[in-house]
Amino acid sequence: MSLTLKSLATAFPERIVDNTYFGEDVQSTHNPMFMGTQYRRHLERDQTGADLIANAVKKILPQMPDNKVDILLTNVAVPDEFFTGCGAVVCKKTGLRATHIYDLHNTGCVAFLFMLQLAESLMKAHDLNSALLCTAQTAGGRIFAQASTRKKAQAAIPGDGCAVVYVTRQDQAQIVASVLENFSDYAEDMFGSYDDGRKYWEPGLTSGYIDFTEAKVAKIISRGNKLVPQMARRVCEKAGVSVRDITWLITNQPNLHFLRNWREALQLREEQHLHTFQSYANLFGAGIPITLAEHAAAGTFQPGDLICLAGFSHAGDYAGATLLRW
Amino acid sequence: MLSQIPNLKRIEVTPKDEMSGLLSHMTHAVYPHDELYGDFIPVHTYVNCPPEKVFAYMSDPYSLEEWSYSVRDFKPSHLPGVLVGEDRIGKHTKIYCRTHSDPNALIVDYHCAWDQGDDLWMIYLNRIVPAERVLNKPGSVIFWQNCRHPYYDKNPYPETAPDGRPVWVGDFWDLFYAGHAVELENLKRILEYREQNACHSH
Repeated sequence: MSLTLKSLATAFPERIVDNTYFGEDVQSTHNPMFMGTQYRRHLERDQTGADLIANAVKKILPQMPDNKVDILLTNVAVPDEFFTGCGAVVCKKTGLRATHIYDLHNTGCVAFLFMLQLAESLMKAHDLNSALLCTAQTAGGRIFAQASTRKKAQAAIPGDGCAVVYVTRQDQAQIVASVLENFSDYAEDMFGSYDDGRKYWEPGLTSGYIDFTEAKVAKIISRGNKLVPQMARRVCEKAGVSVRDITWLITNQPNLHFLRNWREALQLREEQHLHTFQSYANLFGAGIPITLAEHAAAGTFQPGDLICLAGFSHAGDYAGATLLRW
Repeated sequence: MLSQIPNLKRIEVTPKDEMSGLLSHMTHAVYPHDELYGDFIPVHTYVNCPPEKVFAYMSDPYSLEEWSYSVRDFKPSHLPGVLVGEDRIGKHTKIYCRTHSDPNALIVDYHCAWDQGDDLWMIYLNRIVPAERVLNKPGSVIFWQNCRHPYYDKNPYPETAPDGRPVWVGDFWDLFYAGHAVELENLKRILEYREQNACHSH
């Protein structure tokens, strides 16, 4: 038993933001961690992650018998509400009827890989046949469009968008193998930060942003460089294929240096490494399924192509790779 | 005696075909960064400047104020033979340095430490080799080596650190290859400029 990716859809906020929107720090930065973007999308103030997901779900809803799905999984980077999840909201907005709804909030940039595994486990355990995996990235318009945070060099990096992937149980396995791991020692190296030192639930006048421990930055770069090729090699080993057999590589897309280093480490040509960094910047967890969806729609993949999805989250606390046979 | 030592690869016990299999197994197209630079950081370059001039420049510790990225304002410290300056990559960070050099061996080692000068544990090992011998051309080859002393991972003298400094020198170990390659390029450019322009002092 394995999953087949039945259909994929994406949705983006309409607002396109170019680099001039940000402060001088963005124009003048020489830090490669924050360079290389051109455009990204930003959520409007009244727009929610659930809205993005609902827009994408509507595109594939006609393919779901009676508007029904067994499992709905969501992962929204910056939650719409701090107390309630958004899965039920998506159903309400679209008319989708889901038997099981789970809103997840970890595994960041590799959320889609972990969701595939979770969907498969739930299907096996409960003898279910379909799942809808929804990842939405919302940090751009939420976190980095505030007056003070948009001046930061890192503000140019996050972009918003979402992908939904409808998967069903089939005898014909499309997921060849998966390797997922957590490295809890690397937890807490990325965190929300406020210049006045307040907690996020405390009142204040400053905007929060995402930050890394200064002393850990070199280690995080080094970790990221190493983790992703390592996971890709391990999943190939598990599947009994060679890294050279990979037709397409799709990773998370934090910056151009990581992208370059990962394909160099795996000895893949630049054109084999698909991403959308220039158009959408860093889409975090939505990046991998959005790239997959865009290239599926464009007809990039031929039957039999081996697609390696790989990435790491946050400062390295989760990493994984999944092989798909198209 | 040698037969008592396990796993020696010598032609007497390791046939050539086995050896070539082993060498091929060990030869990769790419190597993970930490396999190359995890415990030792070797950097090296060719410099179009005679070895004795390279030695004279490098064995003068004040030259570090020119070719290092961030070491500045050296002055004699309270310790004999030890200079104290500022390492501007750390906030308000003092760096202590003693130079050990040997003009016959063409070796220049810098024994340094952040914050205190009593235990100079950050050792930068440099060897200058006449390029005439190894590359059959005038000039010098510089080999610079660093070893991952355990103190890079944990500051042994936290009481000597300035208040509120958020970083420790070893936090940057993973970037040392790049940092040292850049500084070595500075050194090469300065030495070649001085040679071409006949400079004899700073």
